[in-house]
Amino acid sequence: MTAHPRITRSLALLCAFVLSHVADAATLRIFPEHIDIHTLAGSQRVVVTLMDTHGVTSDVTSEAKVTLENTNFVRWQAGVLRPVASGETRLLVQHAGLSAQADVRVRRSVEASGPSFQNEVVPVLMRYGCSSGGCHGATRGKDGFRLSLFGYDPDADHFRLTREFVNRRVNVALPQDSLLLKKSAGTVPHGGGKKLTPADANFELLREWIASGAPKSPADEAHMSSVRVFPSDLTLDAAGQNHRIVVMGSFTDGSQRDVTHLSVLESSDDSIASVTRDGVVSSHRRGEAFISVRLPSGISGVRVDVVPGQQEPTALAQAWNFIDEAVYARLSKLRMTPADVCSEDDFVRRVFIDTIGLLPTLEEYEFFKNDTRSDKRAKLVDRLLARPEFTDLWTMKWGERLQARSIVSASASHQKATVRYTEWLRRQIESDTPMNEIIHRLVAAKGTWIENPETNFYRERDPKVLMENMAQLFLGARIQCAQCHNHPFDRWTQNDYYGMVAFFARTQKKQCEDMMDVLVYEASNGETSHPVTQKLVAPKFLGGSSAITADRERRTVLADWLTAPDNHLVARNLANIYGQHFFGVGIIDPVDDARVSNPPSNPELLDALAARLVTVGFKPRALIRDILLSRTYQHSSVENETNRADTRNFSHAYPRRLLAEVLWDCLTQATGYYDDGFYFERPGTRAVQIGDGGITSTFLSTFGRSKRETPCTCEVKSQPTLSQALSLINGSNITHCIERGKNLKTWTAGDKDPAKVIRSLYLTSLSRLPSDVESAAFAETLRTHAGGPSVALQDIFWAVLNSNEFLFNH
Amino acid sequence: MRLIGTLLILAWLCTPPLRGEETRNFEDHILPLLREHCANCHRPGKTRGGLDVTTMEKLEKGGSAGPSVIPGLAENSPLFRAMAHIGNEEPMPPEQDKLPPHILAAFKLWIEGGLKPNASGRAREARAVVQLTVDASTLGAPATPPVFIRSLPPRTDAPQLVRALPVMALAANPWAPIVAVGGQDETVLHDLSDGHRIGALPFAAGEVRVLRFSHNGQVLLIGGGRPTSSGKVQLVELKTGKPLTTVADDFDVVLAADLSPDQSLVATAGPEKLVRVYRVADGALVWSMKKHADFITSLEFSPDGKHLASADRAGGIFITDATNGKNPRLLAGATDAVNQLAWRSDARSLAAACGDGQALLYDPTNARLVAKWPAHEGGCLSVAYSREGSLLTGGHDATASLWEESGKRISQFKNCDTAAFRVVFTSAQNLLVGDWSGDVREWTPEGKEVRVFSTRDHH
Repeated sequence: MTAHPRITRSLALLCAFVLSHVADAATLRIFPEHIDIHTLAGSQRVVVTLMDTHGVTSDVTSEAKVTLENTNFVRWQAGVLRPVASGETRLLVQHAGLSAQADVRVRRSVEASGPSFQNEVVPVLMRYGCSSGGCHGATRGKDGFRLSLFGYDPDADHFRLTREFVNRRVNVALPQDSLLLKKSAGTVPHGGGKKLTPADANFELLREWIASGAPKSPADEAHMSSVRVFPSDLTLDAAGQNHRIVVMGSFTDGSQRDVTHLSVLESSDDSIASVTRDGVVSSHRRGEAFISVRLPSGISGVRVDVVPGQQEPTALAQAWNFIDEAVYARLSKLRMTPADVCSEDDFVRRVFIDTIGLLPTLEEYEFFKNDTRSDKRAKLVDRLLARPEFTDLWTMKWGERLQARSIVSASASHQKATVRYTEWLRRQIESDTPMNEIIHRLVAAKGTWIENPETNFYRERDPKVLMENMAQLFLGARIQCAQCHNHPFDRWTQNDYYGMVAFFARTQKKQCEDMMDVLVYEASNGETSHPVTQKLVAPKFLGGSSAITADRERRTVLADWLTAPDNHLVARNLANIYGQHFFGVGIIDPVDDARVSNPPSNPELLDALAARLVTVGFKPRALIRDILLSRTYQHSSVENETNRADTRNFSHAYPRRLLAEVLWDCLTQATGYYDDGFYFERPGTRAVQIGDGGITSTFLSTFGRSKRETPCTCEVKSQPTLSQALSLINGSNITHCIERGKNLKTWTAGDKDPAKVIRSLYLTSLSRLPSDVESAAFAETLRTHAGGPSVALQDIFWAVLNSNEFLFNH
Repeated sequence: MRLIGTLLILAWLCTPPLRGEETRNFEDHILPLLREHCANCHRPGKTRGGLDVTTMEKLEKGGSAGPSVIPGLAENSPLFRAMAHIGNEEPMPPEQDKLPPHILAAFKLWIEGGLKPNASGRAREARAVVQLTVDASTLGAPATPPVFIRSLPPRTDAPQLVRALPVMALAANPWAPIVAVGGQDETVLHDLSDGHRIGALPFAAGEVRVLRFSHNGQVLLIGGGRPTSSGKVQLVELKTGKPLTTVADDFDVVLAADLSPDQSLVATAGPEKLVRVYRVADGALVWSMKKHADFITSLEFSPDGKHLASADRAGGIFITDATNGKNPRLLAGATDAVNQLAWRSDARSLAAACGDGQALLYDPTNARLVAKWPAHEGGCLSVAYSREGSLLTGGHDATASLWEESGKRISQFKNCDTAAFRVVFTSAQNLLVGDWSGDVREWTPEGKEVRVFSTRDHH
């Protein structure tokens, strides 16, 4: 346990040096900086952005003085460059004493004969929701008309539009009679309502395509390969400000084209920053929003911070380590002052619950309080990290995600295998095995469930499910969508999906002689085929290169890739998982749903944590120690004026309800109740120690114990429910624990003064002394209670255990 | 061939009968006869065929075959047709001799006299009625080919098209060298003997989706409308080019329609997934069927007039009794959209063009799939039976093929643009194929291209 390096603050400073967002001087920029208009039909939106000394960006396109070096090739028209003839020139802008310039090239390549089906019509059908899952993109279509979901299959869409019922949806002889146009304009009844008006440029685009004979895109037509948005970050004033954005598509012929008018633009929070169809972002109130930009061939987005722009950025708070540096740089930009450091009482309770899943005992509390060393908090953290309960807690946390669960049926029982699996996991965590080693052992596992417990990772049979579980666990990505079509909210395609499935194509299972055991092995052959092309797919790393497996087993090759120190996907995911546990919210949240449209709230923080995890050799205790000793972790949960609304930037501590198992353990600990054990477990087992997802109790299920049926973080439920409230207030759990528990009896037997009993009760449950107001109220209760002081004490105990202060870690 | 009534239109407005002329009313004359001869099976509590004849209202409402009497027109009223053993109606009373002439005369007088309810009741005005019914049992090759109009006046109100329409509807007259091609708001007729364009029949209801010639070749059915708004069927007399009647007022375009061989019924269907069968005489809805789960693509009366076959985009094929929609039978086996159906002339085989590219053959007598073969890559769009029983198919691969019923290819025809949407046989048993560009090509069965009719020339 002492193997992890002690990190001094100065070392931490070296690990990540976070640049301030605040510019020293104002800057003027043009987006895009390289303009390449490739046909005479296309045009290019241009945005001129001024970033002031406070870091606030404003759109000055209409105010800036715009000059073209040569006006023969392009015209400037209210923020749009329209081509005139082939040629090259430069665009110069001047504003507020600053200047910027962009190259402009106009190329007459293929003279457009009409709109392109694949590059324009299909995106338009996506933009207006026609091909969405709730409408014609549904598997069975809608009202007799079916499109591929978000246009992943343009050929099929072309068939449905033009050939399925010839002349119904598009009428090439009388374009205005096409049902496609009439339905979209709402001139005939349409379940989806009116989507476009004839004055809309995209309506005209559809009409022109039909008028040109509704042609299919030729096989060799250049298509969009990726999407970018300019500017990629905006900092707007909360007073209400508009800023245009430009969406650029990269095409396979190397051209960059303005596709803003074809994109689906959506804000993650319209009340903070909204976006119009034309690509104008408007700020409304303080906060952060993500403007996602979707096209059939890709997804991108713009991070928008809405800040009180007239205020100076907040002075950087004193950072204790690299975590605080990343957090405070962001808070400064957001004009938020971080919370004060929490009290010793708050810290001791918080760090016990988070690190070992228990409350500090009276003795532990007093030892800490009486400790006079200056690094007493660090000393406490070190003691906790060495505790066996730390291992218990993280065995549970990983057991949930790794689905340590036995399915008991008439024909099979895997309880023995599950016990072995949990024991194995416990040993890894106890010995502080690097997480990348654990992952490698799991992914490359071979042998039998009982002899080689890591093979329990392979409980499922379908290689697709095995791959999806692996990706959700270790890459934090839910790529299930890409099984049937390109992922609509992330960059993964069907090719990426099946390239990853191919790693599991040879994984086989066989029943052992022992009916309770199963052998997991690699067959010598087995392939994956792509459902659309029917071709075999070679193993390919997600977002990476093709895997050269040669004569090596495919899963071993995958495990090597996953656990290589430069695999940022895995390091970031692990860092986020540990961060989420201790900060109460993920930097990417939920932690298993990383995608383009769900970006990290603080990318610099995530990168810094990931880099740190790599530096400490993937040993979790070292990273956790840094987290616990950061000022950020030790923030008070008391908000100030500036950070009241914050839920994602760690400006103050976020109170969080205790996990179901921890709540039960703390309840029994506070009352001294001896639990005579859960089903199949030894008496005295704490709820956190239950190693099998199939075992639970009514209390644990009510408070959201994971069933461990999937690797999803959503299996653990922490949202309040009515049955939880009823269980606490009307249910017998708390009274049962108080009455049967030994603590209240011991305290009252040892000390006749009820005030002292209350003091013990408070310190044990809440790690603090009652306030004067509370003490006065209790004195009154003790004096007037109809049942006398002993019943009054029970009632007071009941009230304390029912308080949010007990139920939450804060 | 002898037609029972020559083709005639009667815009028959009944005037109240002249004073002193013999009249009949329901209460005094008809009800006693009905009670004596019919009420044993058609009375409250025992309504065979859904029909109760014991009150005026119920008799008028009729049974499963729709209204039983049409004021003013006895020979078009199912009640009278059944009693007088006219046409395909099941003879009534069943398994008995025809009722004596004086009884039939009484019914005829009552119906033609305007369905008077009682001695003092008012006679009903007759509706405008179209008489087109022929005796289907005598249909066959006519002694002389049907006469058809040789030229039509040029249209002044034709819509301005930016390009030719794909060939969505195509029909060739079974006995005369004439082909009809569907268009936007019109049907274009061409003379196959010399290739000249006869002209366009306006179709104000919208685009033309389906064209059918009657079995005797004298009437052209034009079906279509406006997507999601309205569907109509028009019957046109080929001799004059004049509309005879319009039936159906559907809520979406008519994608499939057919005229029964005896010309008494018109069936329509489309995106509404509902088969509707109307009576030509007065446009009354006779029956409807809600069995299909998807857009209905094809409707075909069997050549003997007994059955109606229908198909949909989900692969469902049904055969029902033509007169009342009873006994629907599912023809299973299509795994993709069925785009078109075709009956063999003896009504003993039904072909289906399937979206998965297969041609399917069914035995309609037992609803069994008897043969299937891959006909067109990317989907089979159209199918037709020749008089001799060979099959013609067209598909998304822009070809058409002629097949033996065994699935053996006789010949293949290329040169179509993008897809061969419609295929038919001409009266001379040549092949016609309509494609995406709007061209219709005529080939001999041996594969010699005879002519191309292009709708592009006119736009």
